[in-house]
Amino acid sequence: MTASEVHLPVSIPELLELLKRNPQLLLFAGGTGILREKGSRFIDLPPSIALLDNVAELRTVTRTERYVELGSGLRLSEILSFKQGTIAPILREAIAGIANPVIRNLATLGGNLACRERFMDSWSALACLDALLEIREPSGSHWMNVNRLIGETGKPALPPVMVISRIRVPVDSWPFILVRKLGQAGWPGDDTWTFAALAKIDKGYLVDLRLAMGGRCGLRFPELDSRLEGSSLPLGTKEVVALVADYREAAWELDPDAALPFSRMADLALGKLR
Amino acid sequence: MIVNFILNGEDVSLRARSGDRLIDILRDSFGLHAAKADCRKGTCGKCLVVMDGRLVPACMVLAFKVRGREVITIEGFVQTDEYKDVAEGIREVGLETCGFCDAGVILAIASAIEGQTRPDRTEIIEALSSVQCRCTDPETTLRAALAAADAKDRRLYARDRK
Repeated sequence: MTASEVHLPVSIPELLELLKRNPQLLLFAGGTGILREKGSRFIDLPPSIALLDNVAELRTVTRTERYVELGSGLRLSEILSFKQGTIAPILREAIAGIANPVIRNLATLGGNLACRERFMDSWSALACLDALLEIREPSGSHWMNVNRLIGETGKPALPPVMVISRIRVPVDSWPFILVRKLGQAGWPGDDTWTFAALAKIDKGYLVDLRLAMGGRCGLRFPELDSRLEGSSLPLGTKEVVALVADYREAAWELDPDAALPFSRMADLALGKLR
Repeated sequence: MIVNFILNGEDVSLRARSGDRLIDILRDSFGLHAAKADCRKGTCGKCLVVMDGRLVPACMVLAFKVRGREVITIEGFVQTDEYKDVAEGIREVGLETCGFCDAGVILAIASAIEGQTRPDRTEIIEALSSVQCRCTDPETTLRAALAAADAKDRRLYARDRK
């Protein structure tokens, strides 16, 4: 049982300075992920913790015509309380499916994305939306597509020492959305996946299709998504079956256990467009 | 570490370890035993408290997160008008809470009806989903929440007429 030193930074530069001095620093936002993994009475924490509650920059919301930028420290319940139209409906639906209302009163969007062990519920919706993450590191900052969180093995590949400060979410309108959670309820296990799909339709033609699934690995195959673009609706059974088979193959390459759930969900999504 | 916060309207201060959970602090250091430590994963809803106006599971809040905050437990909540609304709703439909979960059920009902607008059934069901009580009938709990919303409307109407 060790005593932890708790830092209370009030700005991102101060937080980055702390990270620079101590790369092992535990960034603590809602803390729900950290605490749920440890069901014990007392939580043995690392020697140094930075509590993010007082970093105002992590709690800002900026909206332009094309996107909304959400501070990573916004609580999930706060995001759900935004008036309709502020955030993409697919993201709202994905967030509404996370845990229960009281956990969502603590958990933050940044914490949901920063899990290093698995892709949590918001990831697949953000992956479909091609959302961008602002990554702040002691050496500088850059924007990164949320899809680039998928490492070579399909597992989350977050930079080792960094802060996700903002999430830039496009606000275009998608007439077709689908979000499904698969596997055990409650805290995610190995068989838990969150699937999301978006489709844009114009004058009876499918003009954009995006499918993603997150769990113990992240699955997003833009090259397959684009194959049916330009097809007239309803989609033909033959082309859907062929595409679903290819999704299954691609998912199998990454994680054999993901192949069946991904292809089933792809079939469900494409079936609605048939 | 020294943790200062407001507990049921009073400034309190105690020495705690950073890894101590709020639920254990409430029970062990302040003798507030209505909230129970059960799942310690934020799913059962037996340890709900109000922190800075938001309903949260006290098992998922560590000592250092409480510093400077305001915490209201069921022991403090029973002093409020909002509690009277919930109690009236519970009495009206004859809801019998199990004793182990009643703090969570009462606070979850209060949270369901706290907004400016009257919640619909779906919103109430969503709010009540934070408490997993196996011995209280969910349909009666839902009716109690609706009756509590009526009681709140009556109270606010009477207040505004004065």
